[in-house]
Amino acid sequence: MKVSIMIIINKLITKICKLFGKNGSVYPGYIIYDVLRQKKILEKIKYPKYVIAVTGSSGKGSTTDLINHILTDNGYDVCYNKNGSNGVLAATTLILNNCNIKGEFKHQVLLLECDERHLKLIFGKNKMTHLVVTNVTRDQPARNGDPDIVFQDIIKAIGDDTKLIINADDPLVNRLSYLFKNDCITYGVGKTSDSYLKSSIEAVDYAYCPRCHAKLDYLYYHYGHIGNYICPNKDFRRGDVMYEVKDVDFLKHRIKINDEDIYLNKDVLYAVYYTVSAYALCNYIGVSKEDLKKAINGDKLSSKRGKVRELDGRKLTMLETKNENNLSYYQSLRFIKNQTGKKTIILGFDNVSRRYQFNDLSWLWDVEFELLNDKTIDKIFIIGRFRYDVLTRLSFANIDNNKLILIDDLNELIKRVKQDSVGDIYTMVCFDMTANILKLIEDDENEKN
Amino acid sequence: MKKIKIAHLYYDLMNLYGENGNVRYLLDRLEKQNIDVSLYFLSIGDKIDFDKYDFYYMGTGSEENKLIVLEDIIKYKKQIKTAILNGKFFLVTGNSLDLFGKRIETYDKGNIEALDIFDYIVKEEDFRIVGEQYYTFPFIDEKIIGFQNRNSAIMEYNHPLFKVISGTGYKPQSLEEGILEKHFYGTYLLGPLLVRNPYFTDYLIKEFCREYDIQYKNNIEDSSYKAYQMYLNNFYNNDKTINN
Repeated sequence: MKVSIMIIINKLITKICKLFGKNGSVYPGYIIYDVLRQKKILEKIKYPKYVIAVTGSSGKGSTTDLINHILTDNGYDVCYNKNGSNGVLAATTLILNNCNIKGEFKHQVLLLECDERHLKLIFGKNKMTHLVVTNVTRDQPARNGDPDIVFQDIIKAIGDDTKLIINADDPLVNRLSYLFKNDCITYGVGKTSDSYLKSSIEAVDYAYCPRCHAKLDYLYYHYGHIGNYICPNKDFRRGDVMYEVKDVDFLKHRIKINDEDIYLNKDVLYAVYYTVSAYALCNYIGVSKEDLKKAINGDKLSSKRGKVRELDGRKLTMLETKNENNLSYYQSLRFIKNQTGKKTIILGFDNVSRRYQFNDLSWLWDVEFELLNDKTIDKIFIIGRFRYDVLTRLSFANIDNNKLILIDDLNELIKRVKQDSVGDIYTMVCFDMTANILKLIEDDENEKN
Repeated sequence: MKKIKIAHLYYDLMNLYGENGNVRYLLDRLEKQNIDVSLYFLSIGDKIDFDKYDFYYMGTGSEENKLIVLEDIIKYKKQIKTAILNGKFFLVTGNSLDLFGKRIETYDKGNIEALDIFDYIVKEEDFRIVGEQYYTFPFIDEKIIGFQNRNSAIMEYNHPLFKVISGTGYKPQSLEEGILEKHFYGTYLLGPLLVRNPYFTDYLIKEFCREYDIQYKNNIEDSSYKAYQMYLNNFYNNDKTINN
């Protein structure tokens, strides 16, 4: 069928979705791609000068937001998937909706946050001009298998002319620098006050040299296998990077990228990574250092993560934490650890995933809950139908048992938190519990009023 | 009393699914029997003495890591066979089980000779076997729960560890799963199998105590037993149905 007909159908279904109050970011693409079996439709589009994809196990959404912010601030006409739907169906919907009837993409820049397994489906023949790879770590193994499988899928999407912007702190990702002869722009983060030499858990996805299989020596780790490494036989190393972050100051929300003083919109390491990756990409395609500073430091982008509420006069920070991703938990745990004052934590889940019904619980043992063995932690409330699994894991994390409180009835949670704990409250829960807890807080507020 | 040594083999390569949970739980449970236990982490670059340790554990890795380990472990082939014949305890979970057969017929790298300890052939598939598993183990009443995520299958073997109630055995449609030979316990179940199956762990500890002439003390049931029970309550309303 003709591209123009597909574009009309896509736009029509999108309008109907909106008419019924639906988001419509995936359904039109589903009709085109799956129902009408137009698997090659994206190959027939005339793309603009810049087709930028951002992929990786974590941080791709925030990186994409910041790239859009910088480019838009500098006068580029950008179209991007701001709602975060990042599979091939969402990409089909977005791209067709932004084409004219001839199949020509209407904007100067197509910027896509891409699911790492879907990248090869979106860019089958027409490759992107620029690819940012944030990291590849263990994540949703029931869907993704292991990190090697994810990496091989990313490779399939890279064309001869695709410019690579990669996180060289990740040895798995850094393999791209020698596997491809493409232009390769590297970025990384120098040693920070949170860097370490040995973790209490050996949950490292990549420990050996990809060339000679010798164990990599690490000068320091940031988290997981992300850090500064060198093969003892000098066959592979992180080495010097083109965009290096130094002097990370979380208190002042400042970092230095190649000696330029840059604002950080969140006081966590993953914010450092999305800032430097966006900086590297935008600088590479032509945004000057001065204009980058103006966009990042002047017109500040607000941070999406970590909604702050109040409960009984206590600050309550909701940290959305992804199940099946030990490093997502690590970053939440590190964030909590770096905050001052007494702390209370709410932890747990009813479902492991929203994508599938499997309940693989193995990742709980890869999360470094040992970071909660800290005198500033007052209580940890454990909720959800896997609460005994979580409790068992925490009982191996050297945490005082008296600090662990099981909540059998979720309706009791707010009362127990108020009654039995002190300090700022942090929820470290996944998608399903976030909504439940928000409702409980709202009910509590309504009762007071 | 004899000091017991646990070896966590290739801990930094075969560690994809919270495998550390198994050795930590095992260590804890042996210590609760007042056994003096030490844990050793061994990998490429270490000279592994298969006579020195009493309990060997190896977990799941990526396909790439599995083959890196095979390159290294193959030099211990004879010592491993002797250790198993001498009744040393081995717990092998996930795709590390592939290493103990005759050969691995890979999806894209041809046939690779494996340790040839047991008489089975492993075939890598172009699809993955992923899902909840629910088994019986003949020596205990309580069912076995767990998860699989693999692309390899054992073609046939006659000494299974588990019988399949629901899930996948050696290969799709098989009703048997795992390897039980002397004190070698091998299964495609991955991750913290021992933590999730405290009654199976009880059995393993009892066998271990019997082998080493240690008086077994009845265990005080902790939260792992409640987690097990709650999982059954939540997801299995009879022997065959998974509730989600």
